[in-house]
Amino acid sequence: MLAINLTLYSASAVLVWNWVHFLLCLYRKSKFEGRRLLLESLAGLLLLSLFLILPGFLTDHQPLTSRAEIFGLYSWSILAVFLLLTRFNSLKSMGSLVLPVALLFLSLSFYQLSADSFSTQSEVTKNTPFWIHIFFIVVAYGSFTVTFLMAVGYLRSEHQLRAKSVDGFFFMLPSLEDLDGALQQSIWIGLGSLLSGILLAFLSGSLKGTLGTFWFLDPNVLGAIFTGVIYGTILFIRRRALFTNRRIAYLAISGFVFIGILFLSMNFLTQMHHFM
Amino acid sequence: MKLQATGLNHKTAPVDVREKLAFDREEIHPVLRQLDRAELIKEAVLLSTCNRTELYFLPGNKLQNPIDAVEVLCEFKDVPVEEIDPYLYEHDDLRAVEHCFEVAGSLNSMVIGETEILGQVKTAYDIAREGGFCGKFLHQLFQESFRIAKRIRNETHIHRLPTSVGSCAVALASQIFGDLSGHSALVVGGGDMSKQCLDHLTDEGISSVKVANRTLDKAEELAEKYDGSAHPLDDLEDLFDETDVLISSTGSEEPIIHRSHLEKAFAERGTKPIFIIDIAVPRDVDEDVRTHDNVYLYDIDSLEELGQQNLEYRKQAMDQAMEIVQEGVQQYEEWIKTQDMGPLIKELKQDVYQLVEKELREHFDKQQTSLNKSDLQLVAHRITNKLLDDPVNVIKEKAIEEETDSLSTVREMFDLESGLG
Repeated sequence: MLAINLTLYSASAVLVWNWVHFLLCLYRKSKFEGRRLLLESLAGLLLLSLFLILPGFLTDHQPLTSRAEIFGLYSWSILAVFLLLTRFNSLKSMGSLVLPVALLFLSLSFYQLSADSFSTQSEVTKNTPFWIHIFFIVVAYGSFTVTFLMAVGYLRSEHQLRAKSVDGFFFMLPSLEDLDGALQQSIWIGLGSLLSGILLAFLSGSLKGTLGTFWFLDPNVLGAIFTGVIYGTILFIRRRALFTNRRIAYLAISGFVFIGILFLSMNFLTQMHHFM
Repeated sequence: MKLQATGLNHKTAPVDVREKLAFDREEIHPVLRQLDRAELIKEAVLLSTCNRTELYFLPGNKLQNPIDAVEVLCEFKDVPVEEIDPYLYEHDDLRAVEHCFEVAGSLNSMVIGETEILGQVKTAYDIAREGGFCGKFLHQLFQESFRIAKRIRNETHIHRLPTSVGSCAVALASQIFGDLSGHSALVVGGGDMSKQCLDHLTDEGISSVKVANRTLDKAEELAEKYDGSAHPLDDLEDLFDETDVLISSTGSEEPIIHRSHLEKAFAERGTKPIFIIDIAVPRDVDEDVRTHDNVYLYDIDSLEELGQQNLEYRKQAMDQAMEIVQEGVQQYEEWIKTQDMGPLIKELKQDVYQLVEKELREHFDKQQTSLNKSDLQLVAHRITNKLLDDPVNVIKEKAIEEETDSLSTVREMFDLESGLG
């Protein structure tokens, strides 16, 4: 338990410093130390990965089945998707926006961490590749969170450009093209993960047997499908150029808010297939 | 050490005076050699650009006044020194050091934060070094100035914010499109400002340039310069769908680019935006274009306003940059103080070595020992070095802290004559 906790504390410390470093670069408007910041984020990600992997090795606990781990995984997926996107887009200072969100969920992981966190074991989680399904679903929502953040960054930058009120910070934001590219790519990653998670749930055995009901009566399953439809529609609109990029960004933000409400209501309003 | 800096620049002298004392690369070695032969300099670096001519030097034995060195420069360029004298400035010691750092860090430039000056300072230093005119003091000074310039560049935003119309246009284009390679520009009309914008865009890697003009010959002339293609103005509507950056600068009295032109282009372009720079007065681009969601339209006033705003930001960054300069001056000062201790330390070591040699000689004369002489010498020298390590470090520390009483004590202790001048 101590080793597992230590990895979480270390990951948090590294990521908090990483965020402070981002903010210092912005405040001093100095040269963006992109490479160094990226390495710090990677170090935090690796430590967080250890936190997620170690319970499986050190205990009999089925991975990713406690709330502490789920929040940790959510934080991990936000960071991992963001770092993946930096390979294809120059995202400069966006880490200053992404990291606090990742840290928020990491703090929830802290809050949920207890002596029982790694002893939970249910019949449901024992018999199926449950944690793989959880992994993909959480990564999907992590991706959509990154989509939301890219959309926010896009709108801020776009607004300044249009209003001609550019300041020193404006030139530290990524270009509109990079933000738009990252927005699309994160939706693709999210949709791919969501589909994989849903398929794995179906393929891993009788869902009725696992959940005690038919899948089409399960709010979380329906919610996941609905989420896929929302983001799939956004991609379709983008591809067909039915909306401008600015409207697509608004749509992405609205979609995220909607699925957030959906997710919370499903977990608070029903006892079925929830983890909150 | 008494470093001097003297010269003239854009702040003190008009261009017709500055150009009289401007030196080509090939002239620098001969003039420095003259200064050296006249024993007016021990070390020197001559920096000559379109905006300044400055001489950084350590005075030689025969220099009584910095103007003596300037006289040699004037004589070389066949200019009466009286014509130059009213525009000269002189700095010495730490003020000369500070001035050198300010110049290298582009804090003294016509456009604060411009990037050319550092390269020019490096070239001046290289030329002096190749001619053997750079000793350890100027070597350290200029190496430190490069480090300070790099710190200013990295730690402040003094260089980063664009101030000219062309650089503002490119900065905005980069904020829309990111990497400009793979994107295309269309120039409608011509004119100096268009060329300035196009120069900056091509410097940043824009891959395709098209020029449209009422007169095809003029379009071809401009297009050839940028390895682009020329088109008549009648083809304008067909060019928009492949244009990412549009620079318009015609002499038309009425707008020539309307929203309807762009609607057709966007049917092909999808959601890809267009950045329009309307430099013309009266404007070439109709106001209704501005309302299109995929168009970012900037006119000449907006770009100039942005440039002015950024210039204000650069000036604010000056305070931060000056702090870095002051840190550099302090470090250079500390380094000089340790160098002044060089002769003292050298003399101390020589005295001790002589003492040891003498003792060993007397020993071997008396004892007639069969022990290996070179081994004993080696051991003795090692002991000497170890004995002197701590005192030498203390001497350096006291020099930095300016504890002259302690240093006097050391001199007295070892009956040494050299020390602070």
